[in-house]
Amino acid sequence: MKSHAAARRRALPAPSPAVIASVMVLVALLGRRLFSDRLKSPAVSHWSNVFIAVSVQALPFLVLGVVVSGAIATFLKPSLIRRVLPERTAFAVPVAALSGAVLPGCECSSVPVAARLSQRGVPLPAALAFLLSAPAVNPVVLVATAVAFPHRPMLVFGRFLASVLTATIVGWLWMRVGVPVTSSGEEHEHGAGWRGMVDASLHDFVHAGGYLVIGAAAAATLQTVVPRSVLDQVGRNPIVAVLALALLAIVLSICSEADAFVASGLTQFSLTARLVFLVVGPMVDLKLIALQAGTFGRRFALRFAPLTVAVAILVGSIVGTVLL
Amino acid sequence: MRGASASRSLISFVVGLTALRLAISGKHRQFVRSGLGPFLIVSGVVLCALAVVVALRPTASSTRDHDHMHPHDREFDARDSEPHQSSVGPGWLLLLPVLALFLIAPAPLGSWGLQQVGTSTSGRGKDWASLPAATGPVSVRIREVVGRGLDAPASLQGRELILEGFIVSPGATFGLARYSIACCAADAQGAQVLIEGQPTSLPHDSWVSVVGTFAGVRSGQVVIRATSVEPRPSPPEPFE
Repeated sequence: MKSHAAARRRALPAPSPAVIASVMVLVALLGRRLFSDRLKSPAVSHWSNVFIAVSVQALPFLVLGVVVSGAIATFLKPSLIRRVLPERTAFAVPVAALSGAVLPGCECSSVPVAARLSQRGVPLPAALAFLLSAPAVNPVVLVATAVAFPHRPMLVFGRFLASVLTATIVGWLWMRVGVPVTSSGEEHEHGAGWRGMVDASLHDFVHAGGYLVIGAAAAATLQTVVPRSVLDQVGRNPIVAVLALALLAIVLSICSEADAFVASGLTQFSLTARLVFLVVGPMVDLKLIALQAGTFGRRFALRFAPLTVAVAILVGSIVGTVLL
Repeated sequence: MRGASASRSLISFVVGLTALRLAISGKHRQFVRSGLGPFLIVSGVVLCALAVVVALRPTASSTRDHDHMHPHDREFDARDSEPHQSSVGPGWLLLLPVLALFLIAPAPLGSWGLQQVGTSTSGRGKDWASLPAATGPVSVRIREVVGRGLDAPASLQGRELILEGFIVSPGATFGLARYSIACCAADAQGAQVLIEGQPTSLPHDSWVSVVGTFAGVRSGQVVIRATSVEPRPSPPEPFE
C-alpha cells in the first residue's frame, strides 16, 4: 500500500521530456479548437487573467534572481562570506537584513538567492533575514513607495524600519525555534565557472518557477472566489483593520514593487494598517509560501510563514503607531 | 543528456519563447504594465539561451543532475538520488500559464470582475487642478472623472468629456468602466461612471467611446449625460 502510494507520488510530478513535448504539440494542434469555446465563462476568464498576470509579472524578477543565485552558487567562495559577515550568527542576522538593500527586485528574486547563500555558508538565520528584508528595503521598492505616498515620507521610512526590524527579529527567533536546517554539508556540484552557473541558473529557474506557478494559481483562485469587498467592510475597527490588511497582503500576492500603489488606494484603512500591509506582503504571501515550501521544505514553511506574519504584524503596528 | 536536464531545457525554452512572443506582440499589456515589455524580452532571451546551451552541450560526466537544494527534505532527496531519474519536481507547472494563455486565451478583465475587485473611489484627497484649457472636448480617464466628480465637481462643469471604457449592465442608462493597474492585473482597481441620455443595446464588455458632460453625483456614482456613444475596438492596452 505504502510503496504503491510512494510510486504514484514519484510518477505524478515527473513527466518525461518526451511526454511534455508531445502534450505541447497535441495541445497546439487540437487544443484551441476543442477547448477554447468551453472556457469562455467570465469567471474562468477572470481567473486566467490574474493567474497569467502574476506569472508574467514575476518572470523577469525570477530570472534576475536565478541568474544572481547561479552566480552565487558558482563564484561566491565561502571564505569571502566568512570574511564579510560577522562570525557570530546573532550579529550576522542584522547585517544580512540591512544588506537586503542591495538586491533590486521583488520577492521572487530573493528566495533562490537566499537558498544559494545559505548553501555557500551563510548561516541560515542570516540568509533568512536577507530573504525577508531584500524585497522590501531595496531602493527600487522604496522609491515606488515614495511615489505612491507623495506626502508621507514617514511611511517610507516606517516601511524600511519595520521591514529590517521584522527580518532581524525573525532571524534571531529562528536561531531558537528554527527547524534544524544546518548549512548544507553536501555541496551541489554543478561544475565550475560559467558552465556551472548556467546549470545552476536553469535548475533554480525550473525549480522555483514551478512553485511560483502554484502560488499564482492560489492567488488567482482566491481573487476569483472571494470578493475584495468582504475585506473592505472590516476597515472600521483599528485592530481588525490591521489583521484584515495583513490577510489581504497574503492573499493578493502582488509584487513588492506594486504593493505601495495598491496600499495608497486603500483609503478606508488607517495608515498603520497600510504599513502592516506593506511589511507583510513582501515577506509572506501565497506565492512566497509555495516558493519557500519548495525551496526549503514543507516543514520549514509551516513554521516560518506563521512566525513571520506574527512578527511582521506586531512590528508593523508598533512602528506605525509610533511614527505615523 | 540526462532526462531532468532535457526537461528543464524544454520547459525553460517554451517559457522563454512565450515571454518573447507576449512582449513582441504587445499582448503582455493585457496582463502587466507595458513598461515590463523590455524586461520580458531580456528574460525570454536569457531563458532560451540557458535552454539551448544546456541542451546542445555534449554530455559530460561532471554534469550531475540532482537537487541538493533540499538537503533536509527526505522526500526530495530520496527521489532525486534515484538512478536515471528525470524528475523536475513541480517545475513542469511552469507550462500551465503558457497553456492558459493559449487555450483559455482570456479576454481582458471585464464587467464580471468589477464585483470581485470593487470599484475604487481612489483619487480621493488628491488635489485636482483644472482640466487642460482647451475649447474642444477633452479626453479624461474614467478613474479621474470619478475622483473629480466626487471631490472637485466644479473642475468638470461645462466641459465636454471623452471617455473610453467597456459597458456594464447595458440598458436605458448603463455603466462605463475601466480598470487601472499599478503593476499587473492582480492589483487591478475598477472605476465606473453612469451614462445616461444615450441608451445602448450593445452587450456588456463592449468597448465604446462616450462623449458627454458631467451631470452630478447620484447615490455615490458619478453621472455623465452623453451626447454620443460610439462602439470601438478594445484597445491593445485595456488599463488606464
